[in-house]
Amino acid sequence: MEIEPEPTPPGGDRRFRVLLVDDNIELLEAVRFALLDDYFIETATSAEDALERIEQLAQGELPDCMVVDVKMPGLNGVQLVRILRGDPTTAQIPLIILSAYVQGEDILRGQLAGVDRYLAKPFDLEVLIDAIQQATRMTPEQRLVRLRSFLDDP
Amino acid sequence: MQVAAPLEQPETSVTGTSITERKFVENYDRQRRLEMLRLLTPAFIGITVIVIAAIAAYLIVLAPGQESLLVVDIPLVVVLGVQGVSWILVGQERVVAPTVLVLTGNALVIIAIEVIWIKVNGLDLFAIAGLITLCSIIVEAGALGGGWVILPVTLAINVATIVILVVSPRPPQLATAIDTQLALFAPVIIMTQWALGATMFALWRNVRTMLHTVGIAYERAQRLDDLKNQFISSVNHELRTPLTTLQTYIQACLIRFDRLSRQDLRTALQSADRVSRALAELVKEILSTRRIEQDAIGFTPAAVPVRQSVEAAITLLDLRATAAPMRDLHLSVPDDLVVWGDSALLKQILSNLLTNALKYSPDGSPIEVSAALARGAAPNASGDGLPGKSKRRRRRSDEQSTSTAVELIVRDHGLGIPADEAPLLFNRFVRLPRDLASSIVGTGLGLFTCKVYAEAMGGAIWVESEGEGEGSAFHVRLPIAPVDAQPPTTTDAPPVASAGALQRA
Repeated sequence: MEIEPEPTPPGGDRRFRVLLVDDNIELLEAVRFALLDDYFIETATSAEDALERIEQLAQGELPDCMVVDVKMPGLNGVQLVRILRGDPTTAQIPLIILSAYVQGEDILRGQLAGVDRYLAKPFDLEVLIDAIQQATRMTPEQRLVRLRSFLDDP
Repeated sequence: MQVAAPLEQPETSVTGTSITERKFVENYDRQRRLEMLRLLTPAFIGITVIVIAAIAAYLIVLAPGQESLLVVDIPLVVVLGVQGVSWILVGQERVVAPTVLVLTGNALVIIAIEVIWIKVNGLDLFAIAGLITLCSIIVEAGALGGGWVILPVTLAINVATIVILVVSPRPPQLATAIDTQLALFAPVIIMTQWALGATMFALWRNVRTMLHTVGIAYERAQRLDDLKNQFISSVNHELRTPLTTLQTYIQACLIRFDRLSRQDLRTALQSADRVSRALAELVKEILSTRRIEQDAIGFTPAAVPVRQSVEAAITLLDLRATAAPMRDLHLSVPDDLVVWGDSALLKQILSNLLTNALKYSPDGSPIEVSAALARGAAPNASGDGLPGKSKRRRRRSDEQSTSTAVELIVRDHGLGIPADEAPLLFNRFVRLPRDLASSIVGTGLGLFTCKVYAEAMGGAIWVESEGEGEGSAFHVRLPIAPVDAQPPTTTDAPPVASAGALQRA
């Protein structure tokens, strides 16, 4: 099943951009269906794909929030988070993690201590929407404080 | 004293002897051996008591006033007393305490004798004999390590000690006493010490064997636990993902309800419907292992032409596949091969193997199906991968001799299978860790089903793979139909169309 990417709206879309990263296309489609009224949704089916996209985007076009699945073939969600946090241009992008893990979940949460929100699948859609809202509506001061906390805890 | 009677062997489960059964059998053996020791205990205590009584009698009645005898006799009494106490402890199934008691007690006593004797008489042969006895005690401690050669060595040392005691010149005032007592007590000392050493050794060996068997049972329990965890991981991820998609659609429709067009609503419901059906299939498949086993039993063997089954399996796949890209399929199946079994079961085996080949190999790589008379013996590689492989009582032997069987091979050019993980794949719900991490959907039941069905028909299934990246070849061996059995004249599958996911190459 192919997802038609939304064309970038000309003249600036005031909606926040959300990048969804998950290898399950059906789930990507479902989440996009849920959010497309209020956000400009982009999707990637792998971490590598997501990184390629981000690289091609200009500074002003970076996602305002990313929703990332943990379990993906190739680079998994944890590695993607590390890469994003390690790069100054992407370090401040809010990250929401989705995980289908049951066993070893505590370890996973520890590894992902730097993310903004951690949700287990199946998640309550309202919770996800709330998390995205909080992430995209941070003031610049709040973002700076967040960034500092990531830098303080390696 | 009571001896527990062995229980009747309970029904073995499909996975083999249960762990509690095994532990019971081990316990029972241990009980039996300890019973033997308990019978010996009174005998040795009796001997010890007799010897001590004889010494006392001798001292009091037959040789009054010979207080110098105390030098030889009191240590002897102590040694024998210590051994008597240790036998009581052995009777109580203690291993370490009696051993420590005997060895330490005997050693201390002999050291005391040595010290006194050397002070009085200097380092003469008698003292040396005592030192040799001390060595024998140390050597007995080595008996606990389990080497049986310790025993004759201990015996030899004790004999040497006695010989030296016999030939060594003695202080005159002790000569008579020692002569008398040597004749009486030397054999007893040797016998007791040696018997004690032998029994300690036997006991220790039992403990070690028991630990070893328990270790195997523990390892097996670990493996079963790992299988269970694998199952949970596999099923967990397979179920949560479609469930999440379904839930998201439903909640999205509710949240956006007022803003949704009828068309949007319909599209969303259709997607949700599709996902929920797939989920239902998954749940049914996961919970259906009982049905797999029942299906395998209730069939009437008949002659089944192999070619027809292969084509029926391909047709089954063609019907299921929707948007899969075309794959090349090479068939090399003669028309005249006929096996003895059930056509529906064989069709399912082939269908599962082909589905796996499609799923686990990349687009564009070919899949080959071939069949021929079997050569050589079937390797027993479809075992359960657990240590101490158990026999399955319900199945006939699944190794067929040459040329009374047909061997089918389904080969793909996918990622291959690591050799140590291959046998595990035929267990329920097991999937390779690599596949669990991928987005390929699977319940881990396909190969389990194949194995149950193949063995129910008197055959075998195994996989050969060169390793990572080299592809895999699944071999199924089934008995040939008897020469006089006629294959059914009606075929159960229409001619294979070339449209669909598989095209003939």
